[in-house]
Amino acid sequence: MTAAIEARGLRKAFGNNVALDGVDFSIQEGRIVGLIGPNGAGKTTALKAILGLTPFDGELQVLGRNPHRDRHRLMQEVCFIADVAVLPRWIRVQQAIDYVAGVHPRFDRSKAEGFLARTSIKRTSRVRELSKGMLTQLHLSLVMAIDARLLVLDEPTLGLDLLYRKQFYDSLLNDYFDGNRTIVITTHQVEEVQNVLTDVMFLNHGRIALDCSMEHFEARYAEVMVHPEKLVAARALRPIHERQVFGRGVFLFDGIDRTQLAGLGEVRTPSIADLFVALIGPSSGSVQPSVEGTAQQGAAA
Amino acid sequence: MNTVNETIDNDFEPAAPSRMAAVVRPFYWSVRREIWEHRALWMAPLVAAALIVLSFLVNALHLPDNSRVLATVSAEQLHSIATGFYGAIAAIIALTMAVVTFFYCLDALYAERRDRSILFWKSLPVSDVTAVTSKLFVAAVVSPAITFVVIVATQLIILVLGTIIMTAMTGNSLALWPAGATLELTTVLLYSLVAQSLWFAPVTAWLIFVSSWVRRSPFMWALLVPAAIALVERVAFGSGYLASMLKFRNVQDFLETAFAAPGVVDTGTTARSDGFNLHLSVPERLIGAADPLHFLSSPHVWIGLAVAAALVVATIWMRRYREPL
Repeated sequence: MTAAIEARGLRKAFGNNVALDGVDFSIQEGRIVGLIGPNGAGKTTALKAILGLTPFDGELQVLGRNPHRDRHRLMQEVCFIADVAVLPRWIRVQQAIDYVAGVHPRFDRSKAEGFLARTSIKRTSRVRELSKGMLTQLHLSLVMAIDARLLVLDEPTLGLDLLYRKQFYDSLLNDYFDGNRTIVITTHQVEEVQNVLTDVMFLNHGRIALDCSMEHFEARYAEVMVHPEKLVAARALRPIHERQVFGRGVFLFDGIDRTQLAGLGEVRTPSIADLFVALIGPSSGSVQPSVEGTAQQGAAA
Repeated sequence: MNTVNETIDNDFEPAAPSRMAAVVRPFYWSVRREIWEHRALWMAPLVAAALIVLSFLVNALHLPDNSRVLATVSAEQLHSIATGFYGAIAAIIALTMAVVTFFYCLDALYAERRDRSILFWKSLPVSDVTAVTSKLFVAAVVSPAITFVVIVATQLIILVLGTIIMTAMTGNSLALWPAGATLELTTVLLYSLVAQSLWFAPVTAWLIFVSSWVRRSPFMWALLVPAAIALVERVAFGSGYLASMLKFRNVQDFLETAFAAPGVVDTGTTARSDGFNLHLSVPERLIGAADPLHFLSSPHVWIGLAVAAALVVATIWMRRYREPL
């Protein structure tokens, strides 16, 4: 397997504010990687560097090219949606299709028209007349009709309703992902991508806090709803995070054998969101009453 | 890494003929996109032309006295009046277009940063060189071309309408057909538009550069910086060399460089006996005075083009490094 993205000592600072602090990572072809991090963690900066939108220090190769120097050549093989509001407001739907078909050698017009036919978007509408959801649908229709090797999605479902979000990830997997393409997604809606990702990467304060495959994630991390009488035994195994759910302790363990944990209570794979809170949250490592994540946890389990 | 490079080269370095297309197609579509976005580029001159035709009709039909006066003048005078009127048409439309192009340039690389659509444009395989040169092309080539077409079309419409009205009123229509002069006038018009585009290239490039550079108020910066340069020069060095260089790029000096005859625009003493011959003799004088050789041998033209080229390079660099506002 070859690397679609290879970063060595990738660094970017805005004055005294270090957005990326010399990170190393490598994303293999054919993976679907979730880049997760709190606001200001450096996600957007990393994506901008990958897409050639910003100069950077250190080494970065995307599909074998320097993205900032070779942006326009790279964009023949890379697609991205930076955020939902970037389509020019004056353009008509038909003009947007014509333009992308005109400049992009790997754009399949009939595919884009097929995606659009499933929506209620009119060809003669201007972008400014579309709702937020339609805007995203249009942008995704354009991008998914491009035969790209790398697709970068920055908060792709922001502003979409629940139905369309589900539909979006289904069609991303069924219509778009073919095992050869590489997809990088950043999102705050961690729960909805957990089953889509093959790899997950946590970014915090410009550094990588976690970089592993989902198989590895499932093997390594375990969450146990500990029986009240086993609390002391559970704490002896040094959980990386502990919280209270409905009066019961939920412990997160890193690299502890599951058979050993089974005696403490109910064992399951933690959600990415819970691990994220454990590793990056404001009081990571200490006991904190959980408010967020509790509701989703039931659904994820 | 090597294997990645090889596959890219095999897949994406097409043979020579399509490499040409790979340059021309994005450029062509970038120019089309500019015209989609900036509809004023063709709507404003059309509106100006429509107003000219309308006011001509109102004037001819409501004030038939003018037409009767025309019927009594000599063929030579009539020729002069017609040419003067065609010149006025050209001036009005060209001026409209100059204003529209001025604001087009200030908006060119500013609006896409302000509304963040630069992220969409940059997500497509269109280089910064193509993006910047296509905008310059619109300002320096497409805009004069539209001006030319609209002016000639308006002149033809006026010619046809004038002939019909004159024939209806007087029975004498031939006098309004100074065909030779019209052709000469069209040639001079074409020459003026090309020369003007070259002469004002540094101004065009400066405006586009400002639009790629400033974070707000491109209009203010576009005017303030040259003013500041002139002021600093005056205060610090007591000289007015740069200031005179900047001041030199005006219409008067353009006309005197492109039309090598002193006083071609000296219209102050021209007869103003009626509304028609306001700029009566200017086009006629320009026809005789067009001097491409003098224009092209003027160092000012070439200095201007060199400045424009430098500004374009700077703009391309800006496009690569600037991010949404």
